[in-house]
Amino acid sequence: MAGRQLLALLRRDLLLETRRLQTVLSMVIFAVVAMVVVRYGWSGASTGSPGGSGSLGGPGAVGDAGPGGGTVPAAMLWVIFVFAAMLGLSRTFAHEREDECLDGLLLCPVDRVLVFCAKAITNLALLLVMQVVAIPVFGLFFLEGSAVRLLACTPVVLLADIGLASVGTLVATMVLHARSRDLVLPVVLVPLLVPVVIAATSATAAIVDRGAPLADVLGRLGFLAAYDVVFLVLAWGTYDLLMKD
Amino acid sequence: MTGRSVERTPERAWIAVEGLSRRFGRREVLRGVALELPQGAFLLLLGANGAGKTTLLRILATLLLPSSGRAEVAGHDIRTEPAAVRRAVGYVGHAALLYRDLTAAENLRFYADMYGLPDPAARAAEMLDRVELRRRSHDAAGELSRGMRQRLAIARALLHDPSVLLLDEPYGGLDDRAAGVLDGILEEHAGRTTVVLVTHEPSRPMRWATAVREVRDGRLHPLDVCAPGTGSR
Repeated sequence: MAGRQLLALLRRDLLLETRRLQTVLSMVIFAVVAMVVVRYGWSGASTGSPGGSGSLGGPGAVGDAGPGGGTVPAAMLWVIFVFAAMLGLSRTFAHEREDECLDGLLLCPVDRVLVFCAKAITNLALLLVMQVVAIPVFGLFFLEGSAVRLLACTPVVLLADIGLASVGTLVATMVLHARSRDLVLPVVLVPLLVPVVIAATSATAAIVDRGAPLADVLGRLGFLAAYDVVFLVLAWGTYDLLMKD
Repeated sequence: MTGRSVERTPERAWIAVEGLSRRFGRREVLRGVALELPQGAFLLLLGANGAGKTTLLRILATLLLPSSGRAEVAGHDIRTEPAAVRRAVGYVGHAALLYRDLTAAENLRFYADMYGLPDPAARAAEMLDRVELRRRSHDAAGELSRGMRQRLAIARALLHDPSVLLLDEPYGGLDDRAAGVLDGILEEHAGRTTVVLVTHEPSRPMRWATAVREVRDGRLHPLDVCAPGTGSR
């Protein structure tokens, strides 16, 4: 029965998201617009005038920066992802708050951990959809001629996204009944995500920089995997308590 | 799996509450509430706004935890066996508890899946028929009138054939025809399902009542408006 309940929860979230497309669209638009703005500033910085050469992938592209030059764009990428994720995470229980649907869910004989799983998977899916659009844009803007290297970042993106989605869902549940939840969510969530952002940034930079040692990348991936495991176990152990009044 | 699948023990109270209290901050809404209802009893719960009627219902439905005291519903403790209580309870609250962007049928189908019913789509269609909403089954719940949403909420509460019905002002927003539909449903359930109905207008459901209580000063007080000794204390 648990599998069927999980599928029903996921189907419901998918239906609700596709009916309005509010969350995923706002995430995609934010990520792309932020990259355009950063790219504009990046060109200006590299040519000494705002707008600079104006050519995408021109001077300042990561590929031109030499070893270590990928860290700043990678950091920007992950900061943008975190803020885009925040838009989705803040709406984790938006549908449940309408018409007190959360009560309807709590009345069902469903394991609360399944509710966490469904919400975390939905948040993960939203992140991935946003990144499917945003990562090629990043490649186009910052990795001229070597955007294909971003494909190698797939494990980093997946592991970091699992961390973002699981911690984000956990914190969204913690602040569910808070009056100023929209304010509290980022204040609580961002510090918890700092380790993910640092690890994902350094792993992404190591991959897009030519010649980074494989051990470095694997070390970061191991850290991200451990982070995911810790917070998934934490959610499993505490979620029932968090959902109580 | 439905609420009826819970094994019944006729000699035990189907709803048993003892010393139940609930605080919200410094305000004590319920103070040592005691109640016993046998299987099939129909309790009307009256009281002024803010008296604690909804709080009592929400505790029985496992939506709130009591500050102290104990409560059993369908033979299951609300603290230690909440999932079993939820299987046995159908609840209609002030809000419809329906997803506005899902259709009427999708809402019922979702809840039927949550209760693990064998044929969710068929059960959803059956309940839509029962509350006379079949023709609006493909309309989003948010597009339905308040009365229709209330009927849909009643259908949701009855989906899993619960052995306990907790109804918080279920006639709210219903026109005469829709109230008649609810009358028919309560008529079917009276005597076989344990019902606790909160209302400010007791005249309509009074015909099925086996007990009437007023919530006042955080306690239940018997009201002498129906024959005493009809299975409640």
